[in-house]
Amino acid sequence: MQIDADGQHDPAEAALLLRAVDDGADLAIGSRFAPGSGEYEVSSGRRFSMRVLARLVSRRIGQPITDTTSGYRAYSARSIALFAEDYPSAYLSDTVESLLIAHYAGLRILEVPVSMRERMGGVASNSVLRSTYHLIRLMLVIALSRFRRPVSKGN
Amino acid sequence: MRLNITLLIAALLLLAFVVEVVRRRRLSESYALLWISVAVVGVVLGLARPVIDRVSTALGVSYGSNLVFAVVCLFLLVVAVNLSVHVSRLEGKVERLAQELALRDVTREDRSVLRDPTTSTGDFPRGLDDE
Repeated sequence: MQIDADGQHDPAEAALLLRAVDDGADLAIGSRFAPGSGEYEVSSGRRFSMRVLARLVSRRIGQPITDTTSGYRAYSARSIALFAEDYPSAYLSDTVESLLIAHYAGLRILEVPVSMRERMGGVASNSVLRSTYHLIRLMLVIALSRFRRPVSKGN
Repeated sequence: MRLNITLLIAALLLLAFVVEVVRRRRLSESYALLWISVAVVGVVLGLARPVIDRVSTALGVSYGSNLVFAVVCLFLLVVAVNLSVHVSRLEGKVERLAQELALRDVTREDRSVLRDPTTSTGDFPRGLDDE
């Protein structure tokens, strides 16, 4: 299991993610935007970035992913073995890029609608300039994802 | 015209090289973005000679290539200084990290010495004079 520590994720819904893994998924993602998830308010800039990322990633992996940056996830033994070897650490790459790594390793990805609560502490990482930069950076990451070497093989 | 083609080829080679080192994970994406944009600007400059000529005339520079040369030099200077600043900061961080780690080792060995006096190697904690 992977869960945010700022209170955004409802631990009660972990059962939904674990059930998805029990049913054969290697990577279960708690999605804030999938049909059936609760209300989740985001700023328009953030929403735009998230939409763009969702579209790009979905096209890459040939399966609709509505929430690419969700950090509420459950892993199967296979995906743990993969990510123990190869897991990106850069901001937002850990979620977006790991999805692509999982896909190219042939893992089954499944989205599960979850509801998000207001974070109980901390501030959302934001700023138009920064998020634009990260969006462009992630576009590069997505474009190169298929051909890239594993993280562990880098310098 | 030949100058333009040379510039274009150089920019495309730069682009290919940057993409390759990012693919091998030798270069982080943030720096790659910088050099990719440099390559793109190079391609644009290679294709848009009239624009350069117009800008250089407006600025009172007689040769377009001189203007490009000056701007490129200035840009590279800024990048070099910037990277030096960055490296200095990293050096400071690494030094601090090494020192903290060394201190941690010393205190840990110190404790084991206190627990078992027979392993004592002298009157000074080991670790400090190791390097």
